Amino acid sequence: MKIKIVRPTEATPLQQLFAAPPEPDEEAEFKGLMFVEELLTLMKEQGINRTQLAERMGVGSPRVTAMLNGSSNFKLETLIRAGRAVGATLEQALVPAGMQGRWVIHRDDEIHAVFRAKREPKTPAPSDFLLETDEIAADDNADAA
Amino acid sequence: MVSLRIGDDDRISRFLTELENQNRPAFKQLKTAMRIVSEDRHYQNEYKFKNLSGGLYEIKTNLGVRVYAFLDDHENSLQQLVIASSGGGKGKSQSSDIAEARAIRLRYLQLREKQHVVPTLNLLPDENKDRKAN
Repeated sequence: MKIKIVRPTEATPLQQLFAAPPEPDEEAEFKGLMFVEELLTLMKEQGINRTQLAERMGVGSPRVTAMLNGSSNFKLETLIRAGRAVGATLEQALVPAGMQGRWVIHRDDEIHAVFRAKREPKTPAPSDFLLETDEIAADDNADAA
Repeated sequence: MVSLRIGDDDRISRFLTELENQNRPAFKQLKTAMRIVSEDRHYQNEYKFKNLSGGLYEIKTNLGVRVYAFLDDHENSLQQLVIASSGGGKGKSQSSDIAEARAIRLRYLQLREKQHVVPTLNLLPDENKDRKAN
């Protein structure tokens, strides 16, 4: 039997409610809960329970419970502690309006060398004002005089 | 994610619309929780999305308000998460809310087997604009 799927040409009042852009506090809660989802996934992969997470973070279990159920406003430090507790680092990005951001989490060896970010060691450029040893001694004597 | 209307009974749409008018903080929390489930399909956090067994799921907030849903994974369906009923209201117990949701799910499944009566699934807007049928 076919199920009737309603695709109205005009949004219903309920659909308009859900289509409205989230307010900043809504978006903050959404981002926080998304972080919790990622954290829980890593905890599950590593076999870490909430008590162990709290120990690794150096906080009490009630703090972790409040974090997981979204009843606390996250401090960045808390997010970083939680990430480190599961061996992860917190990354962030501001995405300008009209653009989209995508994260790709990968190991270095999973990316072809052509596309890897270049990390060349920085060597100081020679300075035009670098004095040789003899010149330093002559300069010191001039100052003394 | 869709909301369920059986005949003239569109309780979940009515509930959400009234909630937005009467308790906007609770509505925003519920909308956020539903958004996480529907857009990003994340279900790890049992504080927000709980498997009640028997095919029923609970999407909930810190303010006591919640909705109940079930997965329609019928071979002819779009693999929807169907929002069936609400809970957390005054004068009602959670056990009666869950019992009501289970009854709605059962009725939906029974109706699906009949030829002349069809329940209506209202797509929530985020899925409506980018919907791809299975």
